[in-house]
Amino acid sequence: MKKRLAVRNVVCMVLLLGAISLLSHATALTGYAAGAKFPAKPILFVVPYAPGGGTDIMVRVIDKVGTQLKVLPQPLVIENKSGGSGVVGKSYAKGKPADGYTITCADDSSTVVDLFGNSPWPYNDFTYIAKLNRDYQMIVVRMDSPFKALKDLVTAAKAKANTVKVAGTGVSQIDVLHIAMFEKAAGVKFNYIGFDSGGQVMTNLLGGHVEAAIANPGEAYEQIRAGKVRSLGVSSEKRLGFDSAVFKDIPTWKEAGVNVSLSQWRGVAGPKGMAKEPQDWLINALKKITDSKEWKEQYLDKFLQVGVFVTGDDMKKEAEEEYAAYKTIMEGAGLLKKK
Amino acid sequence: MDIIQNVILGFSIALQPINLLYCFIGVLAGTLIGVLPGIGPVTGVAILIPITFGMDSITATIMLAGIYCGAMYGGSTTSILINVPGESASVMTAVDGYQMARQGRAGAALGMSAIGSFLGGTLSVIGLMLIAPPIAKLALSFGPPEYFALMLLGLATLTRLAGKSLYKGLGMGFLGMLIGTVGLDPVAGVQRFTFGRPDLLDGIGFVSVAMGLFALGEILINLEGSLKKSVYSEQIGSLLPTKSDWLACRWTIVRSTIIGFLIGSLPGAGATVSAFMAYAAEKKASKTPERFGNGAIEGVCAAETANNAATGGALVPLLTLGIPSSATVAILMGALMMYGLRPGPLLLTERPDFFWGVVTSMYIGNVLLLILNLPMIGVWIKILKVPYPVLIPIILLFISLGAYTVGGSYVDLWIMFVFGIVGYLMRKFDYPAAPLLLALVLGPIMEKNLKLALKMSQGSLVIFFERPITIILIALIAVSLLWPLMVARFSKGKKALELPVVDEM
Repeated sequence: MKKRLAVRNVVCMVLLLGAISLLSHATALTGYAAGAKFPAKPILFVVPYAPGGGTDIMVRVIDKVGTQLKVLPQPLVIENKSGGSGVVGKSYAKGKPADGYTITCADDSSTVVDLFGNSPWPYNDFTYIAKLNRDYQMIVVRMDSPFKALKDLVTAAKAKANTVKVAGTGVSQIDVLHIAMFEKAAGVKFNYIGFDSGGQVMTNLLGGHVEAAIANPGEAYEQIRAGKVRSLGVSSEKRLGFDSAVFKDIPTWKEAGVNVSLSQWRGVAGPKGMAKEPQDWLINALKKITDSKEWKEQYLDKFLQVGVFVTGDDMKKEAEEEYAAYKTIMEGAGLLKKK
Repeated sequence: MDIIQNVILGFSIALQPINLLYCFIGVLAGTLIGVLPGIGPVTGVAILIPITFGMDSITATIMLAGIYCGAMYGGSTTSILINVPGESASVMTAVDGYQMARQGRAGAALGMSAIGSFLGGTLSVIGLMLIAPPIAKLALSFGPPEYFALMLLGLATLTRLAGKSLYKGLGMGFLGMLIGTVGLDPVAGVQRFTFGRPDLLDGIGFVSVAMGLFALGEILINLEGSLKKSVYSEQIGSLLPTKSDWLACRWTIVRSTIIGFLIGSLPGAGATVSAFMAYAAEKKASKTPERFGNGAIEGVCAAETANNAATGGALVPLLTLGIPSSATVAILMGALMMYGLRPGPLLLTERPDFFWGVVTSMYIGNVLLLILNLPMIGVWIKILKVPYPVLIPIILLFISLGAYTVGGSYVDLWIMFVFGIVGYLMRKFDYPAAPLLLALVLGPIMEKNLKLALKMSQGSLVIFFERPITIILIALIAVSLLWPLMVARFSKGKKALELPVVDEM
């Protein structure tokens, strides 16, 4: 009796859910009246990561500076949709009309996620607007580590493959790829340990659970300044120009004998097929914002980012070149999951 | 003497009228955020960060810390009154709190959770002042093998949460672990059970599952009966815990504070895990464990004390090492950097005014929360008088909004609906929900750290037996599993052979 009642009830609930599901798909998309000068309403910026992260901060500073300088007539509407290394939020933005009123973040994560086979759409399925900044990678060790220079680490790793433990963020994210590029250039093989966040990477490095870690300058800066951590080298072409007390003496990987340079980048993109007018307007607005002193003070310097400005087709070309280069690396390292 | 000077410095900053005002605004907003299901401390802090731009960095941080503490407080209210855990750390509060409410003891449950929260929060702030550096050192000594052993210890407590039938409880635990495997494999990075949907890459959201099993399941069960019949007893009883409640909880508060503070300070464990562990420890310590799950005030007290004690613990790695220990704290850290502060090992020496100002303000925040919450109990309890046909749609609206807010995705909503039906069936056939949720929280962390530990040791299991902390934890696991059997052996009584878990959750 009890069972039959339960079964009947469950059938009712499932039917009800089905009805709700049908109704929820019946919503209509409404476009915006054509002819009005762009932008005639607030722009939605979909941040495909959690609030408080690097990308989120970048977008919030764009909004703040843009509104301050009156480049943006109205504040941005910022919506965080995180998940799947950015795929969820970008998919959501891509589903909106390509009228310039919805934009999202463009970054190398799209490329990497695609190469790892976790992206439902190709990495370059966007209207590229502008690339805004670069971030580099450093190999860091604890202050009391026997590795005084990059070549010590390389020698130790060469002596016995897969024994030197190097921590990084994520298992199918850019750190894996960058470690693979480092390994290829140095002719070594590390034991890569991928943690969930930069915070955990640093905890495990400081706690002595790993020998070295790969981290952005911004992630390691305070630890270096406090004398807890030492940087063995940075992945840029030239030494970094931030706080000279810390960065002046950090050699580039190339100087330290590992012949590779690499970086991460962030920028802005919209759904594919955006018209030229909104695209140009957005490029122009971002140019004004990123040229400002406020942008440099509040974003670049504070978070140790290097400003760049590459737009539209040039940005697309760079992304495509990067994709090809990363693909080769991943094939070589046996990481490629995309068929 | 240093510490006294520092505390005086802290109070001189925290007691400035502007800081007091923002501390009050913070805890008030935090309480509201905690009451609204789905919007936990993470989202709450994130939403309110833009408001703090342009404010003084200390004032802004005081407000954010207030929101953080307040959200932990507020989460208990809906758990107790309507079985809706406002955020994940309050799940264990719902287990006994809601039963107490049904027995007309909502006032006592709310009162005890407010006081437990106050004491847990306050003591952990004192802990943060006095022993932050050694605790930070302890947190650093936790690598993947230690986390694995800790999570295993947590899962060993499953047997304590099992309810009437051990097999049903263990079965639910396995189900929870299975659900936890959805998403990206934590080391190989391949997709598991995602059916190619990007929404499922990060796994099935804990909040949606908890709200489905608890809130929606409860609503569906109640719908079976007549709607005219009031679900709650008319009599609400005293608003405050009785003397015997106090006596029952005095050691609970001490134990749960220690557990909450220590586990809260470990990056990656957090308030939810500490609430589970404190609850399980309390049940183990209790002489009458069969009351747990049927409205034991110690259960409410343990969970609430621990999740608030975790807030102080969570700030230890941030303020001493510059490392965020939880998602909420990571957002706080981002905010600090936007204010121009540099959270790191040098923060304490370079900006003592900031460190001590914020820490003492958390102390004040806890006092404000108590003052704010005790009189509110009378108001909250009125919710129980709302007729069910009016209350149900409102609850449904709130939990649906809440599930959607977590990730801004409809998928979470569907997960909640499906688990509502599952929760209904589980209730109907007497399967306990708590083991499933515990396994869903702990399972993925355990799996990830097991795999990382084995990667560190290149596949050798010896890594778990050569590190002091893991050895201690593994010994604890062995004792906790074998203890009932050993007791049975020595006492030779037939009764002891039956597992000491005979209650419903």
